[in-house]
Amino acid sequence: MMKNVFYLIITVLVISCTKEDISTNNDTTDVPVVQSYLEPGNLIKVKLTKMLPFVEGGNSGIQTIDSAKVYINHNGNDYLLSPINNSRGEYESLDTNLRITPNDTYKIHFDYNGYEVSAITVIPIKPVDASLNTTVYYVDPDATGPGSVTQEPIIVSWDNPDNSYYIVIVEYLETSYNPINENLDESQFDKYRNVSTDPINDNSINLTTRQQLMFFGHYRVILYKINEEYVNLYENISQSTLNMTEPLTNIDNGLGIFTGINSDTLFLEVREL
Amino acid sequence: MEIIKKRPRFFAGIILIIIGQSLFAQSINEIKIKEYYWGTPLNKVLNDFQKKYGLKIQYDSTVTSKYKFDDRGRFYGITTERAFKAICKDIPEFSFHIDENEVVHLGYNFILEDKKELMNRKFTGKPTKENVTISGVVKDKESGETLPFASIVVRGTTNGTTTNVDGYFTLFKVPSDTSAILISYIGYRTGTFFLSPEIELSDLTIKLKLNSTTLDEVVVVGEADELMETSERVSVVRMSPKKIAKLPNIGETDIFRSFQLLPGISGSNESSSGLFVRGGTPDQNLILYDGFTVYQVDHLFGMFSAFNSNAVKDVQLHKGGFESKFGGRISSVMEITGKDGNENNFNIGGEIGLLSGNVFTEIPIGKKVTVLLAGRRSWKSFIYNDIFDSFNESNNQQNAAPATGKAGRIQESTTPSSYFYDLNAKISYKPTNKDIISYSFFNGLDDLDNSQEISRTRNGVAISGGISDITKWGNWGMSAVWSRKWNNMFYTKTLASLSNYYSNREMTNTRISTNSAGETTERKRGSIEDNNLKDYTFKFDNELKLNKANQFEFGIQGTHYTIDYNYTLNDTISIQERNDNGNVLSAYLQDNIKLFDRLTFIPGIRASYYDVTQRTYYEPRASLSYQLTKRFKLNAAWGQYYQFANRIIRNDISSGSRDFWVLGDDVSVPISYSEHFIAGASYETKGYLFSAEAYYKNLSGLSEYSLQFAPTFNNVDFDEFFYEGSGTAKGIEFLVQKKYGKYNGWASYTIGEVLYDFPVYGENPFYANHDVTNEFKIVNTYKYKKFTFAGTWIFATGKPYTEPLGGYSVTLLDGSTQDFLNIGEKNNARYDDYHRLDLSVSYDFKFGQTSLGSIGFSVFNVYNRKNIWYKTFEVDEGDLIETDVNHLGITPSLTLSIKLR
Repeated sequence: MMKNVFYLIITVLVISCTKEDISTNNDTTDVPVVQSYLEPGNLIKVKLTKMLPFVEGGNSGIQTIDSAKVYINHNGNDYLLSPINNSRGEYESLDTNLRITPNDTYKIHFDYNGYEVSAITVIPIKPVDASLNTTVYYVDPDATGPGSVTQEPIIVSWDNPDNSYYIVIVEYLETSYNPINENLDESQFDKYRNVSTDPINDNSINLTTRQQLMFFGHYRVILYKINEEYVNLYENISQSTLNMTEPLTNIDNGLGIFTGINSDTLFLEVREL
Repeated sequence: MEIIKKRPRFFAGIILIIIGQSLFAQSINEIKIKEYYWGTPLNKVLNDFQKKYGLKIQYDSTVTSKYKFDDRGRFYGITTERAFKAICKDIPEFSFHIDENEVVHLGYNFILEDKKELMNRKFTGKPTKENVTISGVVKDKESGETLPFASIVVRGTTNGTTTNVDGYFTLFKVPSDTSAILISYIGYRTGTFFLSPEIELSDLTIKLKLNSTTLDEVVVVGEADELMETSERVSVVRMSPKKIAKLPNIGETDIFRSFQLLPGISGSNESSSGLFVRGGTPDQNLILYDGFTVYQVDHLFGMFSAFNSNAVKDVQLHKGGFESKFGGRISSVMEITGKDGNENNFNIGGEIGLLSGNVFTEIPIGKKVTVLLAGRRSWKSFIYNDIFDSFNESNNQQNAAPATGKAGRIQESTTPSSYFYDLNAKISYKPTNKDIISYSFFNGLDDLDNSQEISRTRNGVAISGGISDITKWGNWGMSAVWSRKWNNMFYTKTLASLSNYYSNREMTNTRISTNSAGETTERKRGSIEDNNLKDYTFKFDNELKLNKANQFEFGIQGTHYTIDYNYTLNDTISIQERNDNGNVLSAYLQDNIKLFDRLTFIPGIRASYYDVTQRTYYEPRASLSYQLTKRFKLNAAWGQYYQFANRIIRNDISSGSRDFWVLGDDVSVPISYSEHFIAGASYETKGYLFSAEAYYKNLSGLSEYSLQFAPTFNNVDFDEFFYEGSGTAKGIEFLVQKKYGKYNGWASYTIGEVLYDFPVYGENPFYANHDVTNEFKIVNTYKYKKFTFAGTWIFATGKPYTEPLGGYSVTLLDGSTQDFLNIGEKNNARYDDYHRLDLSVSYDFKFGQTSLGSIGFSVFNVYNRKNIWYKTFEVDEGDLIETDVNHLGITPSLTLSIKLR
């Protein structure tokens, strides 16, 4: 579970922590969950599900919201999204006039059980001057493992004059299993192929063979510029009644996330020394 | 004092017998007794002494007629003095002294020092003075320790007073110099003694005898065996540290846990030894140990309190409406008086239980100096491990410790280690009988270490370092006190103290690698959190007892606080660095006004200037008690209270300690305030007490701290995360107590409500975390021969918690999912009701000449009730899973304690 990974992530502060008020919805157990990432160059896609209510006897899996009229508002125009065939609860925009442009504001809204669910986001600009300190990285497999700092790390760097938040996602592009450390559990291969760093408002981040680069071969390194609402997902969540805290969300009358992202992609190869 | 009579009383009156002629011109110590007595009435023994040996004995035959005596072969050939010693040893409430005319005075135990005559019988002559004032000190007969807050009453009236913290008293308007005075002190035998024109009324020393639990071979059994005593003063209650050892425990006699059995104090907080008094929280209680404030009272995650009962002489709790001389807290005051140590004899003792070992010693040095040392340290047993594991688990769960490797990687194994200890020391010097100079020291520490070490070599690279996961908290404090009783009317006490509380939480990951070339690289990641509070206090308290109607107390207090709170990440980044400094200068004045023998009215005011806010805070207070009839009393109290130093409970405890102290500034951290209203009535018979008391409290300036995020990369303004709220607490307490006898104890019921209103949690008030609607407690002890059986049962409505409305998952950009719980209204649900039965039995024994021992066996949670501590929830495979985490199940424990005397 990625949850374990996120536990080790100490996340970032957001200056204003407003709590969303869902009191307009009288049925507190039937709450929509919105998931949508808006990135320039991609189609707008939205996934709508229902919160799992805490009920006696349990639930029978996650339920989707299939027949909502979901609109995206951009520059004063409403664009109706279409349900995606064979993908329950998912909607997309087929209108070519609806483009995702950096610095523009987008609003999602739809009616659910008689009230309006909505959220607003601004698309970040593409990261500026993203670079790696090397594109080929040589690793001695015998000198790795916990505690090893014998090698210089890979550094991803970028410009960040305004202290914005970024994350780096490292994708292993090879299909074969070729770990640097033989102790790695092969059954966890899929889990380690895509690895995300925690949000950071710095201008560089180190990638190491312990955390991100666990195999020999080619990688795609994607640097995302993200918004506050995405950072909020990395809140330290307590699941205990000793200190239960409400998750932050930017959805009015609902839960989940509707946020703009923008990215730059770099490539890297890890070779055996 | 009630005495079990062996034969009917033949003499209605009190007869003074002085018989005995000086048949032989022999010194009393040259007379040897050559008799055997087997179950002989004591009067016959005394008669024999007088007739056969010509002794002059003064005694009250109506008193001595109630006793029989066995000499068990001890008398033959011994001196008179030793014979009387043997009698007084077997009849512990008796004592004797031989005056300069070689008259033996035998009777109940009230001895006047300096050869002033003890009068345990009524003076038969006429009084020479009327309307007299008496004054003196009350002490323990054996150890010579002064007894604080003992009650002194003119028999048959309501005219009484209590000793002050140093055992001094002054009682006005005693009808005559032959009046009978009744003296009682919790855990000691109550009794009467008589004034006489022959004694110095302004400098009395009264020695009370401990109500020993060891077997007395005489037929009289102790009566005033109170474990708990409600005071004359409104909402004040005390427990006998000596008696609470007989209550069931979990391996450790605990003062705070015992107070949780009283009405109005929540008894279902297993994870906190702190006291939730009338809807207050533990940090709102002023804990004074020999005059200095103790900021943290928990050992082992709150399972035990930090006070060693072997070092404690007296504990009293002011549950509310407390007097002007106390300041700086808004809920209650617990006044703990440390033992001074035995004045007369060296003593040593100790206890060993399944949780800790405990040693104390009392060393008199010369006639004027006493030293007490006591120490306690935990050791690991199954109980310790059970408790430790359960708390450690919850701690880790809350703290979501940074994982150091991913699944599948090499993991180092870790064995957590932890211990606690505390030390008490007190030195008292009594240069005159009017001065007491004392120095008291206290130190306690909890150390919890989950660290792991790494040390290995791979391919010529030596790697060392490890993970530090250390939680340490503790206190140390000390006070130096000079108190002087200038005369009957005026007493002063000057105190200088220092108290330090520290809490340190370190969670770091260090790697030091050395390659074959000898180059070393060190890297440290993680967080360090440090809270350090220092309180420097000076107090000058005065008691001016003008007359019966007006007894003033006034004084000044200055406190300088420095509170540091530092939170550092990765060795270098300081996330928060709070260095609070503040001064509080206070003055108070109160008058204890007694009118018509029935009405006691104590108005008072406290004014405090706090330099952080540059404001003066006025705290008017008043209490009233009215003795409607001899048995029926009405009470009321009102007061306003401010608190400047606040303990902040962290609402999310992502990777730090659970709470920390800060100073209020009225900007980000509010100054807490409360107003108490109390009204009650009590009906007291010789053996029983019935009481009911209602309270209502307004609370404001409550603060809560919530770090929704643990900031990593920026210096942020932590002040944004303090949330302010207000609240009300109200309730009614009922108590029925059987005070005396082989069987005694009490039953109490409290109905209460604590509502908080924090705008951050929404518009509506919600039940506070510690709200309990109904709480019923029953405490019983029964003495049978050398055995004491005790049982306590607690029932309490379940505490509120916030139940999630539901859960959901969000897919993140890398394709993984993160689970969330959507929570409902704050504290919208309640755990199941809490109930628990604890039982214990202890067996007392004597060994050697004077030594005493006791073996105690306790069973905690006898029927293994699964009381819920907290719940956890997780989203799993499209469903929400709820798990209960329970408090301790059935836990037996065994304690052995011994002492030299």
